[in-house]
Amino acid sequence: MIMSDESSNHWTDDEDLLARYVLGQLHVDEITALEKHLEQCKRCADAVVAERLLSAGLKRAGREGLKQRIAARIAERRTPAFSRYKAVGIAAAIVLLVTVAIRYDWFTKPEIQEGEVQSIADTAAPAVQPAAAPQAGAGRAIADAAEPTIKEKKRVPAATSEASRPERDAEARKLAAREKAGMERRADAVKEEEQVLGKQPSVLLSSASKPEELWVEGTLIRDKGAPQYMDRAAEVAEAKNLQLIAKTQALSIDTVAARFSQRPLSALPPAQQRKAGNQTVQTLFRQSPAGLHLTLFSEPSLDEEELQEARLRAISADSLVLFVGTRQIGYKLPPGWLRQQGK
Amino acid sequence: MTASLHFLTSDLRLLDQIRRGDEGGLVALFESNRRSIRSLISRNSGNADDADDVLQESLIVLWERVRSGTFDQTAKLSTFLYATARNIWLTRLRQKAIEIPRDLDPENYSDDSLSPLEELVATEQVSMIQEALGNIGEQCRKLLLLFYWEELTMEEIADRLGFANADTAKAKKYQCKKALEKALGVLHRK
Repeated sequence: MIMSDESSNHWTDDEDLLARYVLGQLHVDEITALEKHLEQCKRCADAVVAERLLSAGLKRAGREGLKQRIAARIAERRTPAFSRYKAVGIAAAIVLLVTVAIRYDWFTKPEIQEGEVQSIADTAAPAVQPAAAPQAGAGRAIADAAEPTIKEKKRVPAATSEASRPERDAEARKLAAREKAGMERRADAVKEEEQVLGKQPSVLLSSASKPEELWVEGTLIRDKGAPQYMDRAAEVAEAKNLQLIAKTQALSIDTVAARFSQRPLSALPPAQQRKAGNQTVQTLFRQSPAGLHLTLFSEPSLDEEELQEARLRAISADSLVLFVGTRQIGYKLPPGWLRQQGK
Repeated sequence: MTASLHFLTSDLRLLDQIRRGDEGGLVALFESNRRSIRSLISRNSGNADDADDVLQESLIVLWERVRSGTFDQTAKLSTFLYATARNIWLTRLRQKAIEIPRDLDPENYSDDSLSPLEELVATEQVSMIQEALGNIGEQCRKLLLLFYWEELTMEEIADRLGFANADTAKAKKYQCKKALEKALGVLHRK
């Protein structure tokens, strides 16, 4: 094995050796010798980084696959068991009901006298039909009580008499007025949102919006300025981040050309305001002929100088990380959105 | 004594199932440990879904250790799963910057967790690799997972996938890796 960088031979060209090194299957003496070479050979170091990423990705893909299979098998096992118990429960309930019904003669036809029918009909609708047609009147009254109109169903009791109809009409008018007022309020809210956004509604506010705009909730990945992040885990994470940034540079991850501006949280449309949180940054992505423009809604406001020096990096086709001052903000975009916008 | 023996034989049977690559053993372990893990997680700022997820992750840790021959059975499987679940949940709480509840002992915390950015990159990486794995054929997918994830030797892979010998498996692995790299390149350029 030739370890010199000047030579055309590099140990990382040996696929088997490279894989065993990354998988930790080599003896410590071998590892020491190979790592000496890595210090001098950038090409080999890059090959190791790439192999590590591939190996880590495959391990995670394997784990994810197994996890999904376990979940599917558990779901499969639970569904029939649940149905079995349910079926037994239903069968038991039916047997009980039939037993009780037989015991109390529920299936025997009651012998109702004509006068009793009239009495029931009169109770339900005393003034609807003339006394000359009692049975037809009873039928109509029962039908009225059983099938109120859709609007009436919201508030009118099932058996309402003719005498209360004016009240029902008044109530219906009130309800219509309330619905109208509600619609007007919703329309005002939409208008207000449109004004905030320069009369251009975002995709999350209206289904008929422009495709070049998108509200995205950024996740505050790291903020050196925030004391709650500086615990032991964060310190370790920060060290790892530095390594990771070096790795991502080795992978030539794209820097996305973009302009940035900021607005206070109070300028957020109401729908977005409700979603705002400490660890998130509501951001409006807008694509124009001049390029990608991000409007960040955050408080405290960012330093303008930091904002001008901010960098947006794509870590995959649809995931971006914004490096602004001491903060790193992660964005996950809908699949293909950047491509559709002619990135 | 009888109860301990029962647990022992039951654990040995499950471990044997896992060694043979039978995932059914994991499902049985999930069912038998679900209640205790739910209780642990619900006492510590989590819910039933969190508990199920953490238990699944713990089962995967067990699977990997058993399959790689690094699992040292010094306690019952339920004890191992409980301790692993506790560590996984503690790591997640730290990532979310949630105050660590008292009954999770920080002394047992091993700090090999990913940072949020690493997590984001790793998640992307996995989804890209999963997508790419779907484009290189079933045999290649299995071979690469057996080699990189399960860390089987070429002899074992040849035996498992029906290749003539280890050299054939090695040559196939080279082709499969190149195919995966190509598929990843295509995805990255998209």
